[in-house]
Amino acid sequence: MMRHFTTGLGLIITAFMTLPLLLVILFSFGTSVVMTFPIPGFTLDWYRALLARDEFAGALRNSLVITASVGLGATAIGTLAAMVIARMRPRRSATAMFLFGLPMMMPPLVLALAILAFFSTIGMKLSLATVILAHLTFTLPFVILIVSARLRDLNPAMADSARDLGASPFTVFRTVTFPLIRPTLFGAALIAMSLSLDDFIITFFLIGGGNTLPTLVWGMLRTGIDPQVNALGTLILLFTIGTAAVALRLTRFRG
Amino acid sequence: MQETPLAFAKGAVPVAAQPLVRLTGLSKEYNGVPAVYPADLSFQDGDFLAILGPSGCGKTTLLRMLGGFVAPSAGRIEIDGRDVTGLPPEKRPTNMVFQGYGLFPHMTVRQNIGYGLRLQGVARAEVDARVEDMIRLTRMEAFADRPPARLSGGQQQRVALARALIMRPKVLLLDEPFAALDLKLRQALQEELRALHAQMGGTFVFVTHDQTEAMALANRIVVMNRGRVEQIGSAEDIYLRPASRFVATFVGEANLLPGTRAGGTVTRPGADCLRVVRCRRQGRSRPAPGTGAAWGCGRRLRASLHRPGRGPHVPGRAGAIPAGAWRVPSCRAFRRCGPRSGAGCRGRLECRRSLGGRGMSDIRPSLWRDPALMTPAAAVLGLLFIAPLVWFFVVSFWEVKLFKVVPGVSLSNYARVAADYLGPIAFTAAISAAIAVVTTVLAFVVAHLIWTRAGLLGAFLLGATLLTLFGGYLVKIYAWRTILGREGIINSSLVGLGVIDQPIDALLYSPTAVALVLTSYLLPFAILPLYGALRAIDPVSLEAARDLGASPYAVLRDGVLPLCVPALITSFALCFLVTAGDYVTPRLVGGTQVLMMGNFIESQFGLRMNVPLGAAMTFTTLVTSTAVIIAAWAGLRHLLRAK
Repeated sequence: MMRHFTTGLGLIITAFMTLPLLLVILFSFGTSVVMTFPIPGFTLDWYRALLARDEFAGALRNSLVITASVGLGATAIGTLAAMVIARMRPRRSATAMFLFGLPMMMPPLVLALAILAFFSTIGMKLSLATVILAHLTFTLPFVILIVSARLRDLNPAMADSARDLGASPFTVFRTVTFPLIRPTLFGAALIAMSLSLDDFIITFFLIGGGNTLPTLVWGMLRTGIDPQVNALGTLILLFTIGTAAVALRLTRFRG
Repeated sequence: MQETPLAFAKGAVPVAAQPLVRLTGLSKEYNGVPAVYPADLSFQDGDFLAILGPSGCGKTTLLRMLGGFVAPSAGRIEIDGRDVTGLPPEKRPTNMVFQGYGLFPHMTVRQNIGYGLRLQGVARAEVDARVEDMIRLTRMEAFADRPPARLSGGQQQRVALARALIMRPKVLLLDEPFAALDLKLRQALQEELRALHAQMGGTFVFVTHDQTEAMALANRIVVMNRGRVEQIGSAEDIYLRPASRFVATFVGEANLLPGTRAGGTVTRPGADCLRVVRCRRQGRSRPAPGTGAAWGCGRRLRASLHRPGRGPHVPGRAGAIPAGAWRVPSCRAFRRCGPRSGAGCRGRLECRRSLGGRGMSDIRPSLWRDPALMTPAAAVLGLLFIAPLVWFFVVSFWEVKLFKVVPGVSLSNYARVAADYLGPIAFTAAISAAIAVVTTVLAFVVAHLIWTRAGLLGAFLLGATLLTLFGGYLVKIYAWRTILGREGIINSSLVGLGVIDQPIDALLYSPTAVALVLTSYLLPFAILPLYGALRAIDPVSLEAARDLGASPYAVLRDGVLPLCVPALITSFALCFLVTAGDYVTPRLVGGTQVLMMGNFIESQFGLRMNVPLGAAMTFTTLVTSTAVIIAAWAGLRHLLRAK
């Protein structure tokens, strides 16, 4: 009895969490402007209209530039740090993780405004580069967390035996460590990318001019109900969920 | 003695006696706690040496110092007359078989064995030939192209051995080589190792805690205890002529009788009714010269009883006492105990256990352990997070006069926040706390379900959680607008079905709507840390609780929830902070009805353009949030401890 009750409750909560997204996808293919059931018919018109918009190509390009740079940058920087953190004693690594994790806990608005105030003081002009730099702050902790967990899983006797057999520290990394953590690195990069792609608040304050996909959504939201948003939302979902799903598979994420 | 010419002293060492390995005063301390006391040890080419001792005695540390993985605190290591003390492992003429083997999982057996030679740049044909030799020698022909994951423990052990032996090391080091294997396999592999030693020659040094293993394989045994070398000798030496009480009891069974030593006999104190005539172990007697406190020791003690004033009870003939009958479990006063006796000694042993011991490497920070690698990440943290926040904090003390920002130290912004914004701050804190509590509770239900239902349901819930986690912030808010709006799904469906005439406006633009949307958005973020914490719980301890009569509810209350406190707080804090700093959701689904701190802060950067005031609002909100989170933590811990 209790068992069925909790199962039911869990399913309701999960539906509460996922249904809105499913509706967006569903209605992006619906013909009616107003969202209502039953759906009168199905069409790809909203996608065609979206692709025909002037801002869309620029927003897509900006999003891709930012996402790719953040993915590469955060993974490279985060992996270097993870290599040190993974070898720390538990106390110290917990402290390091706490420090590097702080930006993850900070509301994006605070992060955006503090960086904005700082950049304008030091005279840094807003551009895609400022967005990329700001995105590094909150994507880094994810990379460090994922990569250091994997590095900690590696049997230390492996690196030791490579050294013992004549490998220099760099050779150990090239021939043993890197091949073993490669999928994890790829996964961490994809997670950083999907977080970056999804960010609206920080991007909005720091981009200066131009659009990314989320800021384009924001602009369209203010003009009232527009089913093109459904189409754009579905595309963003496809992007973020797609990369995230591949990433989770690669990092063998299980909680 | 003093006039002995120097030349003679040097010349006196014959060439043949030149040891292959010589350790001089070698010691290791961890944070001032000695793990290995200064040890002098040397052994010859061709020796098969065992380092024997109980766990935590420093034997692995000694071996790792030989291999170059642990830097000695003091002393010298010479191999073949060359000082190798400062050399890293890759430059030493030693190779090691690690406990746990350390095989490379991304290489086949063949590639594993050939790894060292390939690094040396040996010609490919020669590598292949020597690898084939080693494969044949270790009888791994049938498995040569498998990855290590598809080998049994014994096969993995052979590969590790082959991988080290192919390097033709001057000294082969083996760290508990057979520890992970079952008895039968261990015996078989011991036999193989001995055959290999006989066949290939060379010097083998292995670490073990198994007395029989040491006795069976080694021609010389080094017995260690509590960081000290207790005795070095052949198996016969350490068994028949133990140099200390520890060696006597650690190697084989022993009877111990406390007494005083006089000449060749040990006399039992007190009643003087028992005199141990001789200590015997398998027929060889150990003379005990000198006088003082001593132990009689032997598997079979030959003892005679004396009665005061009456002479021997059984004159002329000693009776045998069976093993075990006189075993004295512990006594602090034993011979040559010195400063290591008593509690100090025991305390040190416990300290050593916590040193990390096995598998620890402290060779100089190599490329990928060098703290300098953290520099880029630290730069990002420092320049893009800490510096902006500190600067933002400084700015919060500036003033805006006549649309111009005036630097200075003024509390006027904070005064304004206190005067005008306490209401919104309280409202923001209240709605954030409500959302955070509800979200965390709901998230726990889902996380618990994922954790307990291993099957399809768990997988489905976890998948849904992970996918919605990355499902787009704005898109989710927008979706809720389309559900709750005036022309949204609920209203238009209800109107369409004829349930209501007019759309309900109140669905959107209310605090409830904001709470609903944020809860839905935050749920996956709250589920993951909780699920992680649940997974870390040892299920056996919960089964044990059930076994002891705890109801499922009691297990949840007394076992599961207290263990989840850090994760519950993480979830709570995450939800609280995101809500307290959000302005998009209130704007899009709260309209003008719901104004939270995020909206006020954001407007200082948009319309009103008063950055210092916005900064002051930000820090007030952050401090309030931190206070609420700390209070929640304390409250939760109190709540779960009280039960």
